Amino acid sequence: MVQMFRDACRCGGAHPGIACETPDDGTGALGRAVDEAALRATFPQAPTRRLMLERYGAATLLAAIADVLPLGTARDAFAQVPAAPEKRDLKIGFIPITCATPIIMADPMGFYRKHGLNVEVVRTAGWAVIRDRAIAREYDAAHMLAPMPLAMSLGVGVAQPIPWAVAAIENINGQAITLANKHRDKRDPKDWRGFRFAVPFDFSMHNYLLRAYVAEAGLDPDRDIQIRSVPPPEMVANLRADNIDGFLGPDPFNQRAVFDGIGFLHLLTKELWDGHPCCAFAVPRAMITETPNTYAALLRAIVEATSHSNNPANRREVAAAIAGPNYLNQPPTVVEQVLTGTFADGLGRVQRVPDRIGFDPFPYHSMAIWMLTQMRRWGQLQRDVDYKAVAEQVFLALDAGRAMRELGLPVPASPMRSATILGKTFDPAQPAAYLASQAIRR
Amino acid sequence: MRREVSSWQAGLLSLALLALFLGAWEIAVSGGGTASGPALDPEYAALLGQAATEGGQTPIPAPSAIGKRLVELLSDPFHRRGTNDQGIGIQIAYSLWRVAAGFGLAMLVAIRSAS
Repeated sequence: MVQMFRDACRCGGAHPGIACETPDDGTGALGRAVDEAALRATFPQAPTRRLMLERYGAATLLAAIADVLPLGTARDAFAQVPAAPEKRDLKIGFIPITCATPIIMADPMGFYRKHGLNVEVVRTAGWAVIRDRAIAREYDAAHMLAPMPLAMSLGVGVAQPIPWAVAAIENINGQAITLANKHRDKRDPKDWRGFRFAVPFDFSMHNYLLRAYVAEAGLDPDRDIQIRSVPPPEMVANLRADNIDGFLGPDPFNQRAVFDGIGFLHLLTKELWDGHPCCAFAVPRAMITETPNTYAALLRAIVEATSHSNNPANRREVAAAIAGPNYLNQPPTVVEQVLTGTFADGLGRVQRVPDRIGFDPFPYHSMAIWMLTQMRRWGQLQRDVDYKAVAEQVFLALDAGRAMRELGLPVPASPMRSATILGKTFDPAQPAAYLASQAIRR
Repeated sequence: MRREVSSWQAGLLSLALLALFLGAWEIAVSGGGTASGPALDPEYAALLGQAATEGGQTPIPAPSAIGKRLVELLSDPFHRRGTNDQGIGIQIAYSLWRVAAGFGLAMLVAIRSAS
């Protein structure tokens, strides 16, 4: 699966940041698309922008305005009393999984309407389709895996950089490793040599967590096991047909495998990294400058829906609102088991883990830095980048923090925080040292 | 040794064979045996689907289940309950429309280039 990744920068040089420093002749396009929106926001008039570019060069200008990202117009939209959205009718694509809970429930429970928006949420078949429709701008915003906007913005896995941003994180935790019933006795990953696993997409926390987990047990995820990208709604059928031995996937499909008597929950990803991000609410960067009021209203609606979904008291009501055929199309008990954390584990026990899934909108830059280290570790990203600069450009912590503050939610003091991942401390200020400490890497 | 078989007798035989086949199918997939599985904690069993509690994991539904679902789908074929939940009639209509549109365009091209 790795061979499809191409080196994102065709200029061939080493870059201190994501802005390519080669002359603006169209060959060194890396990062330009990412930064285009930033330049536009700072210098809205095209002649001024061109003049400034000629005089100082893109690298200098971008360095100067890096400190004021996210973008000026978006900031204004938040600072003022909510203004009428420029565009009210929006289409948002989603994958029918519980990670998308805030995006989905905001429709039946009226959070979009409350903020003056008329949103149509469109169920989509898989992550590749989400990415295609996002690129084609068929969707105004989309439910994405948190690493997808990073990869798209860097031009990894796509023909050219496509600047999308993570406006808010959707869920934390809430994934699991499900194994087929016949592997009940193989609970040690050391015994998994030759296993075939499914993950939702190449650019997913699922892929990175599964790789890190088996690598920790001494298996090389590219040689000792097989990892395939399978759209989440097809995972249970593949497990049933014995096409795969297990999957690290999103709920409700882990729980659905138990419900159907096909598999059991080996572990919850919470046990690998408690509080890990998973899915994101992603927007094209252009939306921030083109329709800042729509962006602000949408972000408010999403942050409010996320906070509502996180409250344990609302979980049953939320499960009932999204289980139906128009959204997840699952038996209500399956969704309820996921959201309440009282569930059958497929091994004959009823487990009670109230924080099996949580919803926290704040897009910590440190999360993005970890994802980038893993993209680098497994050869998806084939050169060193300035992890922090990319994280700041793609994970819009400032905007999300502002929306959270307006709604009276506590806002973290810093977008950087260290985490314990698979028993090791990850210090986001030292990504290179963390990467070097991993024994198995490409 | 030829004997005339009337058409109603032949039809009856066909029906009997069909009934036999469906009956065998029904029995084959509904088996699996509640008795064979271990006794489950009732709280645990309540969280599982029927297939899991019976210990079976056959992916093929019984004819009775198919019939039930068919009635469900056909009893309200044109409902629209949101973008992602529309009746089977509407979906088939979309499909037919696409075929017709494609055929129509092909016809247009063929007739114009022939004349």
